[in-house]
Amino acid sequence: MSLIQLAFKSILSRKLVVLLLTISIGLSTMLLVGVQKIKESAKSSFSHSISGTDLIVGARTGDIQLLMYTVFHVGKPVSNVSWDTVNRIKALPQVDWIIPISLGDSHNEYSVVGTTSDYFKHFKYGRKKNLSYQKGKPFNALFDVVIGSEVAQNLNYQIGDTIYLSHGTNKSASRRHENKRFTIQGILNHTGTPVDKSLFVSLEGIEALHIDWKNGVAPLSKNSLVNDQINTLSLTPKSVTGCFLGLKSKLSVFSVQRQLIDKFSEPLSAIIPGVSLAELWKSISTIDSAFFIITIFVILVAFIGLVLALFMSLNQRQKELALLRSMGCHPIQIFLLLTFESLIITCTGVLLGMVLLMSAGYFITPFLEGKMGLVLSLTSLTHQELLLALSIILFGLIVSVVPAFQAYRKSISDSLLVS
Amino acid sequence: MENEKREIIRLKKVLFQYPETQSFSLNIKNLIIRRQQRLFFEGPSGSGKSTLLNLITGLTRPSSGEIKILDTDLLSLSKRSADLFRVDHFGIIFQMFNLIPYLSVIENVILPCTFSKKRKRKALSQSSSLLVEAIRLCEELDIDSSLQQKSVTQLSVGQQQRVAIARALIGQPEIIIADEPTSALDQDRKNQFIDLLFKECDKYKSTLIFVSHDPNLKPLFNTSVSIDQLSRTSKKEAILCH
Repeated sequence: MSLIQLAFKSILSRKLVVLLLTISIGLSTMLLVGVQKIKESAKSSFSHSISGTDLIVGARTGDIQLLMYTVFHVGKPVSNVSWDTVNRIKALPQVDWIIPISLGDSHNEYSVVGTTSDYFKHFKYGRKKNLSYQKGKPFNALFDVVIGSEVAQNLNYQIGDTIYLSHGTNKSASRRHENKRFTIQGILNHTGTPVDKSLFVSLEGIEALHIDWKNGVAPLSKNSLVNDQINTLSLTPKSVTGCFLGLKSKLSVFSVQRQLIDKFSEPLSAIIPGVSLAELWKSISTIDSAFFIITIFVILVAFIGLVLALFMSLNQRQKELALLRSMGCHPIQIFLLLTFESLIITCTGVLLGMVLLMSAGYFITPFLEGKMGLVLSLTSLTHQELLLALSIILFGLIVSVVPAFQAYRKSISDSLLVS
Repeated sequence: MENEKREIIRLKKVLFQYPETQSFSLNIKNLIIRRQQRLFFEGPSGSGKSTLLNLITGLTRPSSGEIKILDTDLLSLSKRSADLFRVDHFGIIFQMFNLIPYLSVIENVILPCTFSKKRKRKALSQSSSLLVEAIRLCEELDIDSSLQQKSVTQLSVGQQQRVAIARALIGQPEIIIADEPTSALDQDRKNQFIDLLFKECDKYKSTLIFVSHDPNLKPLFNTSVSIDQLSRTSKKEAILCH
């Protein structure tokens, strides 16, 4: 019989304590690795929400603010960018494509984005992925709408359904655009970005919604124009919220940015999405660090439990260890026996934590994705998380050396016959 | 028969004193134990019986003197070698708590062979495997197969002590030390236990050192000695085998 077998049998004889220790180590491992995973997922969800866009342009405002309302549809712009300016930007020689976007309307708390069909051609997310359709096709007619996957799922919409949009983004204060009925033409595939929570209509559609407004006041329901009455009117937008720019050469990004900020009569802001996303992430990640520190403490508590249990078992096992000694077990072997025991407990705990995390991931991921737009890959382990798990095991090994060493010293001086 | 009577343990001018206190000391002028002797070692508790056993088994070192076991100078061995020497040549039966609670009866019996290559080799020369040897010993000691499967905690004290004999005998160490092994048994079982122990020690030609404070057991042994005697014994009166 080897020492490892002996350690296994000894552990199995103290099932309850060992079970509780394993669970406490397991739960704290789950917490630590889980927090890391959520952080990584949040970061990648964040940085993957827009890609392939070289510059985001809007009316002059803070960089992060511009990012927040154009990409995440959070907050409101101070003012708009005139259509004239959009055309002038488009005419710049370095500009490859431009996607104007017009925000400010909503449907059941989901934001409505007025844009052009270029959006579906040039907008990219994640690793430069294009938007694709689950069902249907891009908007074509004035009252067509394309919806994100989450909108379709949560509101249970199908192609051909008709919906009304509302003015404003706040549910309680928003007001329905009466008589202007939109037909769902397409449902986009899931992206894990704010696109999933958006509805897309043409810029002209946005104009049409507000065509009968006078001085910022909506018409009475009975006076409001219906779909057919609008079709013939001129619907060129006067202004948009902002635009996404693609440049012919990445090298010109800073010069175009300068140019947009300095050389236009209208005060503009232009941001490089990657840079501003990193800035935004930096401001958020302090919360995450706090979380990490808390979980480190949770791990500490779990291991204090382990060491405590080992110390207490030493008293109970004094005779057992003396008996082993009498049969030729060297103090070093006693030391190894105890170390093996805690190593087995720690490894089982960490393994349990991983299993818990993965099974929790299986149940929680759809919820997190649906409610928070976090795409978690809980069912797979990255190199870094594996390293984290290994360092927990190593830590367990180090702390258990203390009671094992005490047993070692005790068994050196132990006399054979304890009577 | 010369060989059989050869001396197996010799203690000469051994003085032991606890480092901290002056109150207790053990002074053995001369003690010789010969092969296959059955020695009853008597004395009230606290008289130094355990100390003597610790000295013989190499767990404690004397302040001065000479200890020779099986022609080996015990005091010249390193701690590690002394540990190995102990398990190679001694089978030890305790008063209580003889068995590792989380091991089965058979695993307990085999345990000394885990730490002693010598006893493993000897056991394997008896039977084809350690398991077979352990079962053979158990059966010899009336531990039937239904008991062998049980957890040791389910065994009665008498049964546990029989398992302890089996464990002391596996791999045939030259010396069996029994430290008050009968104190938890009733009178009938005491006699049964001692008979069994004698029978087995004879069979394997082991030397037996039996420690007890129970004077009723003394007549069963061919030699007996007390601590007091030991301290008084001069060289000429060295205790010899019958």
